[in-house]
Amino acid sequence: MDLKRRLAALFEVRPAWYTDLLTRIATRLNRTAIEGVLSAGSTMPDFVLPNAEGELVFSDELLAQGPLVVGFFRGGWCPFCSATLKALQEVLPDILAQGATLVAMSPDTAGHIRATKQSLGLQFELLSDVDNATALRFGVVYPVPAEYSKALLSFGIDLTRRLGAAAHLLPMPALFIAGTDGRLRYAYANGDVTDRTEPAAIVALLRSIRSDDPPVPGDDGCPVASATPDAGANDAL
Amino acid sequence: MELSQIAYFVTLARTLHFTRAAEACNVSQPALTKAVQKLEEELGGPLLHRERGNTQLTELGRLMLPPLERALALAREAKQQAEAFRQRESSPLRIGLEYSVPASLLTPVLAALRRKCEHIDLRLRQGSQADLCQRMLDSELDIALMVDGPGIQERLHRWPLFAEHYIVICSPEHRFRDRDHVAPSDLAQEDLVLHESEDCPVRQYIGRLYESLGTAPRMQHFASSQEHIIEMVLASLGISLAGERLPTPLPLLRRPFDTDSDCRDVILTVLAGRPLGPTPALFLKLMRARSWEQSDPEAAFATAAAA
Repeated sequence: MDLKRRLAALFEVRPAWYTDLLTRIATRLNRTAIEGVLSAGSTMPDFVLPNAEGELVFSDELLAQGPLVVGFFRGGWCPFCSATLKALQEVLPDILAQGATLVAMSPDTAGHIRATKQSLGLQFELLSDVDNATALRFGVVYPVPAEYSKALLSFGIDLTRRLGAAAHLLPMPALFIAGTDGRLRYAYANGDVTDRTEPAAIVALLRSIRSDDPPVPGDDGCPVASATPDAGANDAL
Repeated sequence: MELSQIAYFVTLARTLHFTRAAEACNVSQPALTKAVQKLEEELGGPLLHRERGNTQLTELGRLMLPPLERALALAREAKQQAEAFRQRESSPLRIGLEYSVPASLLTPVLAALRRKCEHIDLRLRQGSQADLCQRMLDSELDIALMVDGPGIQERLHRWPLFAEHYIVICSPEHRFRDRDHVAPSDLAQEDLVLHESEDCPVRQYIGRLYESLGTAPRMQHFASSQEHIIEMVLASLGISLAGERLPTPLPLLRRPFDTDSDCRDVILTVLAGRPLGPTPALFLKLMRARSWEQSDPEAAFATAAAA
């Protein structure tokens, strides 16, 4: 089953009031926040972040090894993100076979990154983007509506504790692919938690980067990030 | 959210003047106005009351200003950190530890930092809470680990790391050797080894305990460091109390101190609003990202290995 269908199935079993809330947030994000997301052609912001094992990971060291796939997820508490991470794990051998590296990051702190990596059995780097400092530079951060924080708290998810911050900021689910020159070849973010880049498409994109190396969509910095990926990118997916 | 939108709003919140804010940000006034409007749309309401000649923050604006100001600073710091580390530049890392907070808590984090940066200029300082707070305010310390309490300055940003119970430490010959745990009433008539500073949180806790028991220790000995306390306990001069995360050498005995609710919260603090250098900022990230749960096998291993 592709990721989109898996996420749709997860969405359907949530209570209606909760999915309504998610839909309202997604609509607003896709009308406003999406414009600030870095687009293909931009230079990828470099980062230094702790991984699940408590070691520092440098983006420039990863880029020196090959193309870099950077995924943003909301946190280990989010079932849609967990399903996405598991789906990414399934294609990890194919990503590595393209000479690329995969990392995923969320603003979770206090050992939650480690717990997520262990519970999902992930073999790629999971990074703690403390205070969303990296996500802000990718333009994917949004302030969580108080109504949503309250809803999560009613499910036992205390964002204040997980993020280590009284102000609740989260990244939109997003995925970027940078070439070894540090330029983004692919950028996709969506406020809809069920709309993410298909893992199989990541492998296809890496293959195309490897074969012809010019940035997608071109050197003119024409943006790819949008609420709906352009038709060409969709075909590739 | 775009960083430029946040930057324009933060400048506008400071100047409360569209033209001056636009000049300060080096953009045209319409561009600044449009960016702030977009941010308002994203945040779901107006951030400013716009009246001719009188611009004021709305309630939402006042609420959002501190986290957005902080987010902006963090994103800028993140850029500097990556650049500084790429050029293998370092900045001093000055850490304060309140009396009785063991330096062993820092070891795995410092080791991780050292593996990636050979030029760490590290200074560790032990002190009382008041002394460490003052040094943070005076920019003599970047970060401190303390025991949470009412005396911590409002200006310090704090993150709880863990809660810990107290343990009794005693020599292998002590009568507590056959005990599974030690109760507060067992402390009456004991000789005690205490930190010489009255500000030491363990000493303060013991003082409150004896006061509630309505009794006093038989003898009291004083030392200026945890190492000295441990040696004096090993020499059977008395017993002492410590937080359970204190690594202790063999053959010193550790016994759980049996109180239902008494535990202390160890917190991480920095001075709110002051940017950190690249090395302290990375240290802070590592400290906040890690798990401090006692059940964490790595943490348990570190304590056991140190012991």
